[in-house]
Amino acid sequence: MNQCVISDPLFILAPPRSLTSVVCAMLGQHPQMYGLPETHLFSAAFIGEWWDLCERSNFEMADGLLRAIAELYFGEQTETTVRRAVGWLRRRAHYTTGYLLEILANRVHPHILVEASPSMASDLGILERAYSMFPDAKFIHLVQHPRGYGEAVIEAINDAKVHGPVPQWLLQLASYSNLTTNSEPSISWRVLHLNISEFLKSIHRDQKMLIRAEDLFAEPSPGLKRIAAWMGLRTDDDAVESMKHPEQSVYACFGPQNAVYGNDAFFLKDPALRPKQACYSLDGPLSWRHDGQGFLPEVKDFAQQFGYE
Amino acid sequence: MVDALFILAPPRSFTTIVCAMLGQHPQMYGLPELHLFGARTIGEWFQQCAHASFDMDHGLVRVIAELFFGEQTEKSIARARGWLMRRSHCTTEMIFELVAEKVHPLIPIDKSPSLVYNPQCLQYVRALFPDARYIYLTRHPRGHGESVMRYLEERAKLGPIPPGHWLVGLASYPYSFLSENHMTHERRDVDPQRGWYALNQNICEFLESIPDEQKLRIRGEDLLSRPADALGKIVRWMQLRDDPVAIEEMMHPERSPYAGFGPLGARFGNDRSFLRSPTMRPVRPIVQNLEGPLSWREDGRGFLPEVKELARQFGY
Repeated sequence: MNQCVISDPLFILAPPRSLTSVVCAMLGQHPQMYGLPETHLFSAAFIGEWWDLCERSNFEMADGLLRAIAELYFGEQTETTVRRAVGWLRRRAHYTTGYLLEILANRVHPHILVEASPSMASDLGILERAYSMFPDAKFIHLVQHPRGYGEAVIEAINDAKVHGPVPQWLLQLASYSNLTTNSEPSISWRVLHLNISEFLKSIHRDQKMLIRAEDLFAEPSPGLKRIAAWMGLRTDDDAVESMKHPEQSVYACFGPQNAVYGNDAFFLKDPALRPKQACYSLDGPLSWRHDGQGFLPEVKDFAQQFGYE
Repeated sequence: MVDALFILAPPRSFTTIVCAMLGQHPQMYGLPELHLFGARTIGEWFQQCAHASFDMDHGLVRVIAELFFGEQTEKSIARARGWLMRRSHCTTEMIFELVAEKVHPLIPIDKSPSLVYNPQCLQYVRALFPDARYIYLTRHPRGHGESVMRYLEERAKLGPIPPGHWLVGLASYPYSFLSENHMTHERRDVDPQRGWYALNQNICEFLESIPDEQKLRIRGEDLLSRPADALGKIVRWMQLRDDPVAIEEMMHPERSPYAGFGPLGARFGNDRSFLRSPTMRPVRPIVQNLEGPLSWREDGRGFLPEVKELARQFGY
């Protein structure tokens, strides 16, 4: 209970399918940081409530936290240790979710925790809960061009169709609005980034940073170095080189049968970093629409605020 | 087991300065007002703070900032709030125990006036901390009433006082506990003697269940007029150092880390007059009378018989 004073975590804020898994794993490879899988902790105030949400969830919401507990408290991620992690977490059902994250932070101390649950972007209340519990936390707003995001969502849907029914959360991302029968993921892009932007308005400028995923992936070294410097951490070549190997994260692969995911499935399949140049435009038809239409004006306006053209 | 000292008294009874004085003893640690034990969990405590008519959370937040984050600044106050928010599931006594562990081997002193409003709350504290000691600090009902009225006037200068404010409650305590022959008065007129009586009765009843060696009654007026004698008596009862150095330390309540206004976000946590001027000034003994009219009553009436009788038990 009376643990050392921990550093508040670094939260990466972005919608699902926005490269949070790979960026979290990259930052987590810095010698002074520890990247968690998706814990979705702040969707609830208490662990008992979090369990209830996991049971009702339309995705494997518990996998990330169970893998982290199995790894950090039981030394490995196997079916046996995940079962132990379930018991460990059930016994702590009365804890606040913030206290549980503090316990994990103590466990990895002096490393700083990096958390990147995309569910945080879905609700201002979730973001505010995280901030009220960790008022010293830092936040990276990770943006991606709406075209790249839309294609990633459609790619995930097409991939899911091969294996069976498409998960509800993916369908929701693709058609956030009832205004159109077309898949239009750019609406969820705008809504979720608006949530993040709105929340970040109240955060001190020293505690937040905007990162465009395309910039980070085109030239990882300067981007990663800039983040480490902003965090007040080592920026030497070794530290930056470590961050270019997200595949070395203990969570950069599928977990055991009873906690398979905990990160984006595409990342789990292929976690290595491949620097790439992406050149997207806000104009022109969208590949996922059959009517040849482009982005809605409000999506374009908002994307331009992030410097996209 | 936590060894703690609780100072029990109605509000406006010198508790702040006495707590800060005792807290300067080399073996004790004076806390600001924590108001912890009216709630079972920190989550419930936060809810009570949100609805309180005063800045109820300031004392505890200042303590956590000071003890766990090393200073009282805006930054550490924010961190302290986060630390407490994350512990919303913890019982309030668990948090008190953490504070006690942090100051160990010093003995923590709590003086939250809210304790004495609720006999159940006092019994709860007793059950949780069976080894705790209690100083019962009394004040003459005339001096107490005049202090309440002065404080009420001071507070009124800042703007209208909401009807639910604790000060209004203290000044206009209900009659329900008094004998039938006094029930003819308007039920909530301003007369602080009723609050004095009710809260002192709560303390007296509670202390009946406490073994003699764990309780000590001190008249606040005696302590402030002859501090060295009274403080010596207290520390000997506590079985702590009573050498001149220890006694001299206690003459400097202004050295407490809580003897001044806190940073933005947690300015108070103690009586505002004390925060403005925390230095101890020797007080000449003033003889106050239980007879005669009361300055705050326009009808020229004096103390109720129950009040006089209880005050006499304290030696007034």
